[in-house]
Amino acid sequence: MKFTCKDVQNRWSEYLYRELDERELNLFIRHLLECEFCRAEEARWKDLLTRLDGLGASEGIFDAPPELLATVKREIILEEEESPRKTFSRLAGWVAGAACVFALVTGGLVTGFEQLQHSVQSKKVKKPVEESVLSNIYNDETLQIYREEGILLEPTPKKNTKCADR
Amino acid sequence: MISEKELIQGIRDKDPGVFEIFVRRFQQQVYYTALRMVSKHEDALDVAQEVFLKVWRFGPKLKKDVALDRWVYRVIVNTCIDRLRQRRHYETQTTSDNIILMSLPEKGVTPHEYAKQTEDLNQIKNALEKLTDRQRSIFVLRHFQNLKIREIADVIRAPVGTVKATLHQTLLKLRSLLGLGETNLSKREIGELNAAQNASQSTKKAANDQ
Repeated sequence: MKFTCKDVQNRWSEYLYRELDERELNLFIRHLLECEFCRAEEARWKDLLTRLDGLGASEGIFDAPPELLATVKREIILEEEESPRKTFSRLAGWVAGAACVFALVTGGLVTGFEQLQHSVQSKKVKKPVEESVLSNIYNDETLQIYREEGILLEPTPKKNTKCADR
Repeated sequence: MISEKELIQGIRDKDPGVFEIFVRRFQQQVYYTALRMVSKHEDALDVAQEVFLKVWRFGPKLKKDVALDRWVYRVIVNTCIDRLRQRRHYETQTTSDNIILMSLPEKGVTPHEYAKQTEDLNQIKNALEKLTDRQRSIFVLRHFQNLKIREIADVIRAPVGTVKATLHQTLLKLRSLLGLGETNLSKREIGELNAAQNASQSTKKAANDQ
């Protein structure tokens, strides 16, 4: 088996970063020895890596700043101090929320119950009945009691349909 | 020398002494990776602090058998990506002059050479800025942190093939951005090259046979 230019082209990054296995590396190198174009490509790739390496080599800052450890420690101490407060405020928030929900639910239930009771009671109210309806059933004493309780309606006067002029 | 297992246990237990050892051991790695990812010293310092705070906060949730190194890299990469997103959101594009932090010129370096070096570095930094978050993460981990592709795949939780392909695309992009010649051969060019190679080989073979 042999590597073609296409095979090589798809594996440049693996070659440059030494990620090819031994067999692939052999095939890769063999191709490079045979192919002038890919050798030129290799030179360009190596030029790229050299330039990229220059970024690390030329910059002034390499080491972690000495204040890093101290800052981290300070932040952690602050966080630990605030932690119980945060927990307390979170807990207080939960309690307040739960109280609100409880109040809303209870208020709703009470209002609903009251409305229900009211409607039941209003249904129980005895509707006044015309006296003429009961006069055949009850005697005068009973009718008098009902009259006093307002259960009986005064008999409606019959409309005089006859014209007075006639 | 404290072992990795003891270190993990200490972090899980929020032991301040062990945590200090952890910070001392990892601060260089955290800061350097962050600097390569976010380019600016101030941002890198912020990211490094945030990474250690995250480790402190989420330490108790750390699995006992975790590969600490890779887990820390994962935290760094995610924190850096968050920082880069924030920066893109809130800042206008910074000029490359603000990004560069050059050391003083070495002895024997002429002002002209120094200026050229600075320009070259500006160009590289600008090219790195143009990479996507994922491309930059993979490139930084491979090129500057020397992680194997397999390890990077574990850090960023992506298939090995994806990491390979992304690394390849990143190098091609960088090469193009840095003006190091055409990045890719066309299919036709490859075909022609292979045909020419085969022809020359068969000619050689025929000559040898004769």
